[in-house]
Amino acid sequence: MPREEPMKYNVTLNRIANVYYNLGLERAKLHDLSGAAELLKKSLHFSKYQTDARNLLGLIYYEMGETADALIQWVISMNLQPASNRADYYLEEVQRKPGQLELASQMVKKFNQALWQAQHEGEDLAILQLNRIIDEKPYFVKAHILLSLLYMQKEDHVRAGRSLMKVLKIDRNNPKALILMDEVKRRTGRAEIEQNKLKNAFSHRQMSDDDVILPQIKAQATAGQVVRYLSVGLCLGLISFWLLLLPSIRRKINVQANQQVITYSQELSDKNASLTELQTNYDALQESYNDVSTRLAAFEQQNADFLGLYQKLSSIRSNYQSGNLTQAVTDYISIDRSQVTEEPLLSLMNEITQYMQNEGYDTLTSLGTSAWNGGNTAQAEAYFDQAISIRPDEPEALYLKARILQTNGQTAEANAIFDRIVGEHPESSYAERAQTARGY
Amino acid sequence: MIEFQEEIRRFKPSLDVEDIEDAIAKSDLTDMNDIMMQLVQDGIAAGRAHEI
Repeated sequence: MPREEPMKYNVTLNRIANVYYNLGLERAKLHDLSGAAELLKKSLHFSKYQTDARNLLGLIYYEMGETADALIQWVISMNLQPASNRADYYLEEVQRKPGQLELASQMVKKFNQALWQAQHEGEDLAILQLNRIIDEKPYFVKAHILLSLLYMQKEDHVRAGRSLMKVLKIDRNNPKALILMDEVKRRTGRAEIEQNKLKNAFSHRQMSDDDVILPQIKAQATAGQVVRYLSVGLCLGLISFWLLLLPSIRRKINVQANQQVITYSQELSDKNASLTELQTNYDALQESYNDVSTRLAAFEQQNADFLGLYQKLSSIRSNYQSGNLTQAVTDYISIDRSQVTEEPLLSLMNEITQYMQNEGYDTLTSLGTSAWNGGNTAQAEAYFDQAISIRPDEPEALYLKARILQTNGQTAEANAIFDRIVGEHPESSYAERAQTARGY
Repeated sequence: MIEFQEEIRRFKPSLDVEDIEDAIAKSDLTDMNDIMMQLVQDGIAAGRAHEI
């Protein structure tokens, strides 16, 4: 039955995959990450659906600082088994912390850059870069191993040993680290010491009185080496300053300068706002000042008008009281009565008007008559004109004026006035007299 | 004796997180089960051809 064959193989292959997974898990528990990874890969060769093996492989990659490889395994795992998969939790955890993926990406880029420098005779820069990477990511096994190789190349076996120790703490049986560690121990004489220790530990021989313990002699650096080390250190220091400190110093200075510009701009803006406010206040004050000035000028003008009018009225009164009636009448006629609107001018004006209407008029007609009788017709006419000015509708003054004109030969003007008297004052005694004088 | 330059040259650049999409696409997920199935199917096809 050919159709049953695949099923048989399937079960068998799954069992083999499971066995490899279990072995891998045991190795992982013992911190033998490289060994575990190999077994888990074998498990996945037999069954790609061995989800636990794939997830554990991802975890091992992650533990060794290979974030991208870990993500690949977890993403594939989620694709093959979308439900109830622990990889979902791992992916969420990695993506949950903000900037973690970006940091991992930066570390990988820096590592690749350091590797390129190491492969192109830039060992010193590579060492600097790798040390920075390890500070940021202490579990990056690959960076530790490369760093230890570079140290060994520079015959700095102590530092190389330290780096390898860190690797072996993370991955106990890392093959490369073990090989390099053997070399470091051989170069430093550590291998011999350890071998002796082992011999002593498993030997039954007691130390005799003749045995001599030789102190370990450390090699003393020569003067030339000291100068060389100092020069290298100085160069490294300058390079570090140039690469690491200078950009940050420049950045800091730029930030300070920008901050200062912002502060000055703010101050300038504030000053402009104050200036605008002051200008507005000044304009308002100027407007108020103009208004007050206008009102003051008007008030002064009003006051001057008032005083002028008062003086004129007082002059009229004093003139007619002193007998200078002609001047008083002349001034009286020239007054614009519409301007006399307030006390005490109004009272004074009423007093003067009352005088002019009665005593003034009578005096003027008497004076006119006297002048006429005295043969001074011109003076008489002037008096009659003033009387007419005071009482324009008075037929007596009109009649006397017309008679003067008639006497002077100004018949037409005289007749006009006669006609006016007849027309406007027909009941008056002067109407009849006017008709007679006119010659009706 | 370790040849340091040779050892350093053997190092491969690490995979960047930004490149995992490509890496996943290029992943070979063929397992033993797939290979066996293929062999069985090839065998069945060969048997049928022989019968014909």
